[in-house]
Amino acid sequence: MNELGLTRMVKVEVVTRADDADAVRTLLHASGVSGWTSLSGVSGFGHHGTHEGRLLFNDRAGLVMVIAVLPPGRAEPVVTGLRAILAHRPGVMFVSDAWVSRPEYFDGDRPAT
Amino acid sequence: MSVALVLGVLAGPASAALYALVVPDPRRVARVVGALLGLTAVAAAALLVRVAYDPAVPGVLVRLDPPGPAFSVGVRVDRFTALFVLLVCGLAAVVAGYGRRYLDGEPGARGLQARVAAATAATLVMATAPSLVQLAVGWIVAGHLLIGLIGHYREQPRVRAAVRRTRRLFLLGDGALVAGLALLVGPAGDADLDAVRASAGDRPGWLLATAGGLLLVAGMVRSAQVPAHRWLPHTLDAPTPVSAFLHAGMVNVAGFLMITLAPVVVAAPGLMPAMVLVGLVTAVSGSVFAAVRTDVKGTLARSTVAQMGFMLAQCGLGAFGLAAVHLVGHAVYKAYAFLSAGGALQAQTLAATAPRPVGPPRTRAVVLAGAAVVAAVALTELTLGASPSGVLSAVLAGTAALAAVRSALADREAPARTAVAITLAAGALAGGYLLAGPAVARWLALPTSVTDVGVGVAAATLAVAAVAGAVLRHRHGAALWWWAWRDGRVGAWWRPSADPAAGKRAASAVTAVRRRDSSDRPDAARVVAALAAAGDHVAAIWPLDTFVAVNPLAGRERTPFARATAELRSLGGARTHLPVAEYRRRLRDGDIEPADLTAALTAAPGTATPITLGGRTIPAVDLRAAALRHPIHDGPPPSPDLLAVARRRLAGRCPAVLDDPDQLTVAELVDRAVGTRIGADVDELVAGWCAAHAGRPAARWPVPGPADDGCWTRWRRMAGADLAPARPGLTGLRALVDVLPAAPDRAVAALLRALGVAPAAWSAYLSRSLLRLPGWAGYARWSQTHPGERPDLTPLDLLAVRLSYELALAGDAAHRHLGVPPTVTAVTAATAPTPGTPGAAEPAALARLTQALGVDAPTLALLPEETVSVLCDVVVELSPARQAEVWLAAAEHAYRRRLRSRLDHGVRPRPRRAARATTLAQAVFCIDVRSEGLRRHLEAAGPVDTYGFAGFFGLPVRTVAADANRGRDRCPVLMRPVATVEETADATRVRRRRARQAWRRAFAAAKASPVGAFAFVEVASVLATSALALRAVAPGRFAPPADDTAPTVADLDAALTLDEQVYYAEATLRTIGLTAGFAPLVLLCGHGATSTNNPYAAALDCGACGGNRGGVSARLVAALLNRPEVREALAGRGIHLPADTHVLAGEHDTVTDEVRLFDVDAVPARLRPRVDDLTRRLAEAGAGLRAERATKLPGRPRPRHLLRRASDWAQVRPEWALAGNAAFIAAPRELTAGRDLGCRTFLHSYDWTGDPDAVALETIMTGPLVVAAWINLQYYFSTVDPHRLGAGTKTVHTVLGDALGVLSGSGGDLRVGLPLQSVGDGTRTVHDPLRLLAVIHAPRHLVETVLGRNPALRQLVDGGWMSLTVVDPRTGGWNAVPPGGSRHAPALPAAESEKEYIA
Repeated sequence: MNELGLTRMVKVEVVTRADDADAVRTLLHASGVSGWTSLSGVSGFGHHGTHEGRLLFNDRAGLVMVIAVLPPGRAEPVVTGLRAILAHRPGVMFVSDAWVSRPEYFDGDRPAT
Repeated sequence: MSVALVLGVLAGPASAALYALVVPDPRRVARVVGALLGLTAVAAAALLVRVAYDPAVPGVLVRLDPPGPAFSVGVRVDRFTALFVLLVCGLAAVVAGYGRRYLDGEPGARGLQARVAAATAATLVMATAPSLVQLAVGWIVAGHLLIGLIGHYREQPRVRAAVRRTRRLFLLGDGALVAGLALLVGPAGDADLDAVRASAGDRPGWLLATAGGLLLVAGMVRSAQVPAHRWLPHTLDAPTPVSAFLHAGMVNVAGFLMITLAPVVVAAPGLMPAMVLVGLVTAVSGSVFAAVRTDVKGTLARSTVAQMGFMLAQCGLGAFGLAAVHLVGHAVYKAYAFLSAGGALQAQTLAATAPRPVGPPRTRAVVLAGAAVVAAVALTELTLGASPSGVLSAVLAGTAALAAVRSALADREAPARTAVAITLAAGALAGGYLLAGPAVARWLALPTSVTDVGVGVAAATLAVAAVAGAVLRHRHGAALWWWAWRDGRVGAWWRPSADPAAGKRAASAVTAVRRRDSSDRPDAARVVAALAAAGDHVAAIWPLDTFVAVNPLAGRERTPFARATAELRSLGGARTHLPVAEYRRRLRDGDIEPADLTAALTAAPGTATPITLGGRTIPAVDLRAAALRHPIHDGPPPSPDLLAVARRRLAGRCPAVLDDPDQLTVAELVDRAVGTRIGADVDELVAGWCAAHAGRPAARWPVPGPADDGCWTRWRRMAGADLAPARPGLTGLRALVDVLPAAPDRAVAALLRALGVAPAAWSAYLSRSLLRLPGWAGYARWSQTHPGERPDLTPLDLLAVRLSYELALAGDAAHRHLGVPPTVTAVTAATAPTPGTPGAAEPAALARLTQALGVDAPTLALLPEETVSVLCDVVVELSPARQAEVWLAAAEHAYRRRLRSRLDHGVRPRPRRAARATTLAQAVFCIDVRSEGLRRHLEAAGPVDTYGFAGFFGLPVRTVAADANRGRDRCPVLMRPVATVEETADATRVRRRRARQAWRRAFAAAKASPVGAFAFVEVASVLATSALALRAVAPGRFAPPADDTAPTVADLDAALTLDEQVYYAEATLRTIGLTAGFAPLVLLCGHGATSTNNPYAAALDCGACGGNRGGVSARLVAALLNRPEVREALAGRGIHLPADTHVLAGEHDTVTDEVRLFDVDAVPARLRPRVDDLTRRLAEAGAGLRAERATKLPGRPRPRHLLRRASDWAQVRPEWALAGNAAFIAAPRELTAGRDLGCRTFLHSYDWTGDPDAVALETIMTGPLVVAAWINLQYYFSTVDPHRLGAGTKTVHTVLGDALGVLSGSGGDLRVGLPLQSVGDGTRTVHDPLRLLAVIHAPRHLVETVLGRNPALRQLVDGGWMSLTVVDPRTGGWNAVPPGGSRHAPALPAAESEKEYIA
């Protein structure tokens, strides 16, 4: 992909309960990830059975998918942290390569302290 | 006649105190004491009238002439004394009357009434004393009783410490008083007051100065003058009526002393300037202390300090008459302010939803109004003839009036008429204040001798204070704020332990860690991950104005109930079950039957095997039951010989295990090692900071820093300026702050490493740290998901502040006492190991068990080893914690058995779905347990079919009242509103609300004015007196206004499309099962509760409506269902709502059981007779329910008296709300109709025959059922540990911030859960803590389908957070779904006869 002028990044996708998505987002923020995308109303089937996309009177039990793209150098704390978060709660994490055209968009380091 | 009247006044409280001491019944005592003190107040009023005509009433009973000074004993009353006597008696009567309801059922209420009466009597003895000896005796005895009142909750360590400090201080003050009076009298003088006053001018100057100085010291102590003021805030740890009594009455004795001895004060050289100096320093300091406070009672307490200072300064200036007026005015106002402090939360909630002020104010209006006020004040003063004290009064009154006017005009949209009225009122009140003060002072005939020196000292002191304050605030604002926050504490710099290097050592530790790990980003991520797990141990807590029931262990619902509660016991030290002794009592009383215990034991298998004792075989279950039925762990000591044998038989069996040091924080490890209380100190510091930060909207001078600063950023900015931390270890904190990272996650990582916590243990360490303050941790969890709604405080912020304090304090202690750095390893290594929980059977428990089995010592000695092993196993397995679990299961089994029996054998209901013509109406109520009673009574009253559904009636919206600041979310906590419905502005109503707000703002601004407040309290005392009277004769006028938000159909259209409206309407009707056979009238009845002066008012409202009243939701949905377009679309979806059916909205007031119907005018004329009939039947049903509920309330009031509870400001239990809740039944009404379920069940309508895909059932089980389980678990935990998992007693609560929550007394953690008064009547627990029993009337496969699709729900059932029972519609059989989710659940024990439930 280099010949297309694209830069390699790491894509992390996490599917977790809406209740736990805040912890995931806080972790991404603490790890210096510049942004992420959240998809609510995710449905599917897995270890815990069928998951409906949306319940009428309960917004918290549904599933959320959080997608983040980050430079490879930032992957270690994110993956380590996510592993710890998902150790005792339902959810899955997928890590894969991704190629982006504007790498500076995904390298939002926080100011040094 | 007059002397008899005075003696009568004295006899009243004395006899009340005596009665309280000898009569054991607290309710009777409260009644009689209240009546006696009331009569005393009437007599005191008569006395005042009497002395108005005859200025002095001397009545010497006996003249004593012992060796030394001669003195009289008796009474002596002049106008001022009579006024003071009336004040004390009036306050005592009000406090006793208020306390009778407020403290009903409280342990120690009788003692408190006795002390109040006795303190009143002692103060009256002092006030009417003809001699200094009697005065001193009354003073000292009243002080002693006052200390007893402060120590009402003596079981709390901080109360005991406060009592000790106050006692020492009072001893000093009393000593100074006695010495000063003795000097005045001389060795052989006349100790009579008149003689001392008359001879004051003849005494030597040095003697008068010394005596006066001593009396000033005594007065300073008793009236909390700086620096002897710090005892006063601790009075907040006593019940509210006591605070009112102390702040309004008892602290005034110093003013009384100075006014009574005015001739001595005037004659003593230098005394008056000293009084002015002390008084003004106290007034200024107290005002600043009050300005930084963020809780209502805390602010009031500091304002008392300021007001007492002002009064002393008035005495010092020689304006004794004005001082007397201020004394009385402040006392009445302050009493009212304390007694009504609980209403602050409701007022703040109201203000938040009131119209936004539109600024800036019009300059011309402000100038004109200001000029009018200044002119009124100036003219009045000139008319009176300007005097130094008059000018001072004019400045005070003018400032207060200007502040009020300016604030009232801040809203451009407020009606001009209101602005003019407020300006006129402010001018008139300021002028009236200037006229009335001197007039009253003249009537009191008190001396006035304002001297130039006094005025000069006053002016100089105020000038110095103003300049110093301005300079300090500008240059050292942070340090000045800390000084004020710590109530003027000047630090512990003289202590050798204040090691200035402590902060530097902590800073070095952090620097070293950061240098070692130069990139701390991975650490920050690890911290977040560790916190995600740690945070599970604490549930989010919603602000109190939108009280939301939360399971305190909501984050641990993934783990089984037994394990989660065990962790909570271990980590947080909380109690998670009722004491087993309570369950044994229930077994004895028959509430739990042996069969229930056996069933619970069967469901909790153990390893015990049958044993043979004395030739008889004891089955394992009987053996275990014996261990449960007898107090083997908590019983009386066994006989010595049996115990000795048990010890021998157990010798060498199992070693004791040690506490795992990894479980403790470094602060706790240091505390354990050297006996310090660093953990508690850190708790106090962190809780104080959180209250300052999160409560800052309520402070007049909030903690400095930009508005958008987070908690940690603000703390970093401020912490280094804390010059007087008063605790060793915090000196030099600035050095530590400087090296800590700005990002809280990195700071926590660095601090954890500095404390030597291994990364693997971070999560556990953070859990334990959070659980030290579960209230603030819960708020932090809420704040994290609601950014910007209130002052931000994240769990990371909280932990960063906590660990910083911990490192500093524990570091200092570890260095000084152990000589090691503050790391887990180093402190553990330096500590001698201590034995922890024994892992083996305790000999005493074994001995008790064998005793229970009828085995004596010789037999035990000879038992085979295998038998002893079995007995040991039983003792170990059935540990106290395990026993509690089994007992809980037994209690739940008993309830389930009774519920089934009741449903099986209750009165057969009339057939449902009767002909439409005979049904008066169909009424849909909230599923709330309180609706069960009303439904039952309504069905009995007439042909009404009732249904149950969540009280928001399926429409999750936020409503915003016209022009309001903030909206209200009207949906359960599990949901977020799907739309915001904004009420269309009704110009007249908005104008009226703006006018009301302008008056409120004016009042608040005058009160908050730093200078004007001194005049304000005197004016406000007149209003307070009227309010006190009005509360007695027309309390209903003080009930908070009902939520009158009334969005129209047009407003609804603006928020939701027609399709969305139809979607929610259909979902609601289908979930209820009401899709056909509509009656001509359908009532949607929400619920709300009217209560007054109640911070927990929202807890009584509808949980399904987000802690709001349900009437608004009912109106919205009724309007929606009445729309022809909606009906047309519904018909297209198979729901034919006939055109001649009208949907009506109503609201059930659960305190009064009255039902208010809305928009009756819109009902078609042909249905009016039906509405009238329904109204009558609802009234009948309400009366029936009141009669039923009255029998369950403390003291069994008459049913009609329940109506009063809504407007009773002293009522701590307006109703029982959801106490007793135990089951959730989703079924057709046929299953439950006609059965008295005791207002303990949530009733949700459900008809499985219309729900083939379990869609409706899924909605019920994932929404209302989960909310019901949370409510149930909140009640459960608030009952089993009311002090840690509940909010403790309401009587010491103080409202924090802008309706954020409450604190207890003088500080501490933010309170969580429900107050003690919601779950018990003081002597017994009213709520029976059982986990929710869900009863679903549906085929098993439908329930299994729902469970299969919803893992979170399955976890609740499998983990034992609630129990689930399926009622088979075909057979009526009850099948439990056991924890663990077995698909082949055993049937529950059958009732006496099986019945078919299907109609």
